[in-house]
Amino acid sequence: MDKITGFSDDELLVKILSFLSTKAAVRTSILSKQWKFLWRRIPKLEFHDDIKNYILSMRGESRTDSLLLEGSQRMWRFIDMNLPLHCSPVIESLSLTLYNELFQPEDIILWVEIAVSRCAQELSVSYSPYKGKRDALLPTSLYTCKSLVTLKLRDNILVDVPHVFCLPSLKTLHLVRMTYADEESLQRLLSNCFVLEDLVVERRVGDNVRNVSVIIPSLLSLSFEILGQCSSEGYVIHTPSLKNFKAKDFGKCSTCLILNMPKLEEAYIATAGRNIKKLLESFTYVKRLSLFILNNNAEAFTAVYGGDDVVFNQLENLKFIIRSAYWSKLLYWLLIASPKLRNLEFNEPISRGWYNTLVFWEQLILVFLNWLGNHDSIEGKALATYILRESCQLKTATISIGQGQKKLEMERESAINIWMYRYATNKGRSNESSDLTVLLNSRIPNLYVNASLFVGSIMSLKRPLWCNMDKICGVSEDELLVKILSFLPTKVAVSTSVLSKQWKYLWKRVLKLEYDDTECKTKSSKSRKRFRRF
Amino acid sequence: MSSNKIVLTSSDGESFEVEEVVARKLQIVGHMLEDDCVINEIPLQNVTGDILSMVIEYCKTHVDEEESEEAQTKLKTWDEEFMKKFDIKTLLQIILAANYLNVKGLLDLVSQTIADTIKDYTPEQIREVFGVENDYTEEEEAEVRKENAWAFDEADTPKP
Repeated sequence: MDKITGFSDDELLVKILSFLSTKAAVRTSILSKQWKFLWRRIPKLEFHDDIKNYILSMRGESRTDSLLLEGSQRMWRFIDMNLPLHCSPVIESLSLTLYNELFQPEDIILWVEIAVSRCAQELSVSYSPYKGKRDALLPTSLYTCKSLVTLKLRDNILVDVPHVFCLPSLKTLHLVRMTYADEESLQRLLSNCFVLEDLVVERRVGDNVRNVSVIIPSLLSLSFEILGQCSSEGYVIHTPSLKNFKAKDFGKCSTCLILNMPKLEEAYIATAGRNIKKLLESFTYVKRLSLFILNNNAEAFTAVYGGDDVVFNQLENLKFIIRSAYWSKLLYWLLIASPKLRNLEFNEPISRGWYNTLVFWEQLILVFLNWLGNHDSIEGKALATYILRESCQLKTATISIGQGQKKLEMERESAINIWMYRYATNKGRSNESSDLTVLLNSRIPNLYVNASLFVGSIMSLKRPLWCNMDKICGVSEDELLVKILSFLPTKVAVSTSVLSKQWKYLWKRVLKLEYDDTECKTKSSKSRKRFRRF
Repeated sequence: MSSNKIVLTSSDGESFEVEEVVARKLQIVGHMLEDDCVINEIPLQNVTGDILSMVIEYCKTHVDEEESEEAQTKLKTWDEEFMKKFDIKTLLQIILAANYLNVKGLLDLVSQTIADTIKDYTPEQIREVFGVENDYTEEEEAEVRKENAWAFDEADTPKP
């Protein structure tokens, strides 16, 4: 097939160009005269200012870098000259990321207007000019754009929604750190988009909004963020079709009403916690929950959990992250209220160092546990031990206590009902044996200590701990001991022969033998000789 | 009707017997079938057998496009693996075939793959791939570069 005749069809070339970035598509203009204006027919256009400009603008520094400035100038000239001449009948998508005061609010109005006049389906404008410049307005024609499906706005844009507007196709709306012309603007926008599925609202300080109501029956995904300094009085969320919910609420709202969402699958909630329990009661249908609690106050500490009928009937995965917060009562409540919980991930990077009253609970049916605790947190260690003991179906548990240095893994082979602990530590620490004991004392039958992950500290391992192992295992059956040994490097396994007469030849029954020569190379020839004799 | 077999014949005389649902993924065939239901052998003049077999392989895999996320991910992975098999020349033949046979999904997939392949090519390499003859004079080319300076500011400096 002749390539040249095949590709005399410009449409096919435009099709390929439309999958390139706008820059790469424009670069094909130098291929030949036929290609000179082909790129003008691509339906998607994106113009992104250099991210370095954004960083400068965030820092409030003036732009002294002439290269950066020239880059922005070239982009401004290019859009200004070419966008009005763009000859794709439909501009499916226009994306503008402007970080420079070179771009004036008037430019944005003009460019957005061009896209709207070409039946834009997707429009994304991010505007962060250098400090204190005017917010950009959007043309009023935008608010009656029938073709618009996606609208994403970010930073210095003033949203002024006319009284009469109509966005009948709008499915995705992102409003990140906008300023609103008045209280009503946001509300009007939110209550008149009847097919909206995906909404992001991130508030900013001084955005002229006090109350927000998100009452959208069609909504499937909602991301909602309120910062601590926001002058927010409250919000109402009623979205019965919602599947994904993400909320970061560090505000001081007095009234928050979230109605239950029966179709909710996934929720991420970050909060500085007032009444977390009340908040969570709106999420009883959730399947996967991530909870991030930061610096909650004494009110949460004294809050009463449990004692009512709240049940998380669908909850299977729980990720529980806390930082300097009172939490064990809350976690306890969540665990007993979640009969289907299979997977728990716990993370306490910074401990409050308090010992909160722990409560016991019924058998858990956790299958996976991932516990990242703090070394100073007695509460955390105790709770981890309880969970290990009470989870009768646990298959995999990964427990780290201390800054990721100590890792303890536990596996359960359900068939033979044997627990295996794997305890790994990078460096032998004085308290490692006590940590180990905490877990070993948790009354789990047929305990195996799998010392294979001791490798890092094995050489410094002292006799008392070995004896301790001997005692804890309390197993006289050689077979079990051999199994333990088989997880050790051969060299270490052999070294157990000094433990007692019973142990003397146990290592010989280990199936896997490895003689690693690499270690010996660095040592004296004497040890190499020993190795060979062996 | 769905179990009906249809024979597709390539320009070099190779025949492929496929189920009607698969053949209907080629919209050109779909239209023919709508015009006259009794056809069961269709000659396809602009496609060679080796390329047609690729198109059919794609259509068979995509014959029932399920909505579920899992099925979508699986298809996407298959698409990626499928595209890896071809060099740029074969890709260009497939895109011509997909365009002629009117297989929307494949057309998009191949366009994306070609775009990904040529995005880092030099102008000379792209000219070679598409058989483009440079009919600019040096001055004209410099003029176009100047007009579109925004698009060339990065290209001139080597990427990190």
